[in-house]
Amino acid sequence: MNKKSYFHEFTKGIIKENPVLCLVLGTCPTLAVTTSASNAIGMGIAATLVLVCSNAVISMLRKVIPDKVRIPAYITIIAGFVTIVQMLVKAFSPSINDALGIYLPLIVVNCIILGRAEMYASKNKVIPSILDGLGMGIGFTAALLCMGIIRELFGCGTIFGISIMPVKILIFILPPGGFFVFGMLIALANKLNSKKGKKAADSPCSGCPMKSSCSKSESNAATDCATNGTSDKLNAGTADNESKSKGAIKC
Amino acid sequence: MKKLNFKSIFIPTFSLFIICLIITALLSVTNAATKDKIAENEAQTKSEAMRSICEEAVDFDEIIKDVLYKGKDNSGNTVGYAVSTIANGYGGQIMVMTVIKDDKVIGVEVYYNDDETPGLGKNTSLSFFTDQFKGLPTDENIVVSKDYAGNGQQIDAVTSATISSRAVVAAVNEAVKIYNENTEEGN
Repeated sequence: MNKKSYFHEFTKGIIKENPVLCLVLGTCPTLAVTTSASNAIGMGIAATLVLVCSNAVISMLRKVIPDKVRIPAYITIIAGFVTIVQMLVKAFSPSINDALGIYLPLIVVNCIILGRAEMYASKNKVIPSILDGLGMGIGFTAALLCMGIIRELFGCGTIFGISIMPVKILIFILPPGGFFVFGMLIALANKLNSKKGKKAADSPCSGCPMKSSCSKSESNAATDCATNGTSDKLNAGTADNESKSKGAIKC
Repeated sequence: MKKLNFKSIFIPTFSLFIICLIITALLSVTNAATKDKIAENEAQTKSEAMRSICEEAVDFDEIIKDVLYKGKDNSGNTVGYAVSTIANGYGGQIMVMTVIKDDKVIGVEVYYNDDETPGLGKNTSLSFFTDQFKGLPTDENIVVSKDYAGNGQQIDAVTSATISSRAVVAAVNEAVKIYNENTEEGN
């Protein structure tokens, strides 16, 4: 792989294939943790570290793990790895443990880790996998930070604890507000991506997270897309209304 | 359907078994290497919690193992009783250190609430919440103002963190009960 595509592996996770806003992975921690901006950063950094390391390990082991048992193997490796890190942090760095608190064990259930292991690390070499993990982690942290700042600002009137607005709209730090901000940010990300002009000739499947396991991705994708054409909207904005009515299996 | 011969079932099963074995071995090695240090760190958090509330104390005598401690100053006088209690919060346990002297609560510190929701239940360890316990008498029950029924002392819960707040209140009430039953001052 040449330098240019290394760079591409790294940057795709930040906006074009942002794990939270485009691939819609890791929704649970996103909604739960973004009640304040400092929580969002803590979670983002911890998850990025685990993501980079687990991508590296799984990429190194990709030829050894049989295809049939790959999911249980990945889960065991990721969970074991996070637990070991947690024990080491608790023993030798209690101050970091206090700062991260419950975020460290929460990372085990973060779908981004398992998702990237399955979608990327199991099929690519170590260095690109590490770059992919780094890019996805940074994209994750950036998305969390945006949501965290917005929710904290409107919900508590503060950013990072510093009081800015006297008005508090409490619902922003409760679940309904979380979903609302999340939806707005996804809309914004879609708008940014469609402007960056993915060529209309691109297969509509190129942004779809189900591409690797989808049986229909080789055929006439615009009409047969198993995700009901939602991946179209990520691209040049040429939403094919017909594909909606041809309704196949919803993923 | 792929043919189900012995090899196609055995190899994946065996590989998974080996992977799990290796991970388990790594986990138990790490656990053995770190569990003493972790226990030491937890004991230190506890004693720091005691010292930060009961500042005049130089030393603490353990009266009931892990639960009741008597704080003494240089001349051996009792400067307060520190009680460590545990209550069930929203996500897990909450550990609270209450220091009581002369039938009054001197201070409360929540020294473990990492299983609570960050930004909500976790805020029960902040001083704006725990300062409410300072000076409360030990002869009346403490309740969260939501549950106030006319008697007892009220304190305000952390907004949207009622369960965690109730747990801290329960832990402090338990600490007061232990103080009343086990010390000469309390009786």
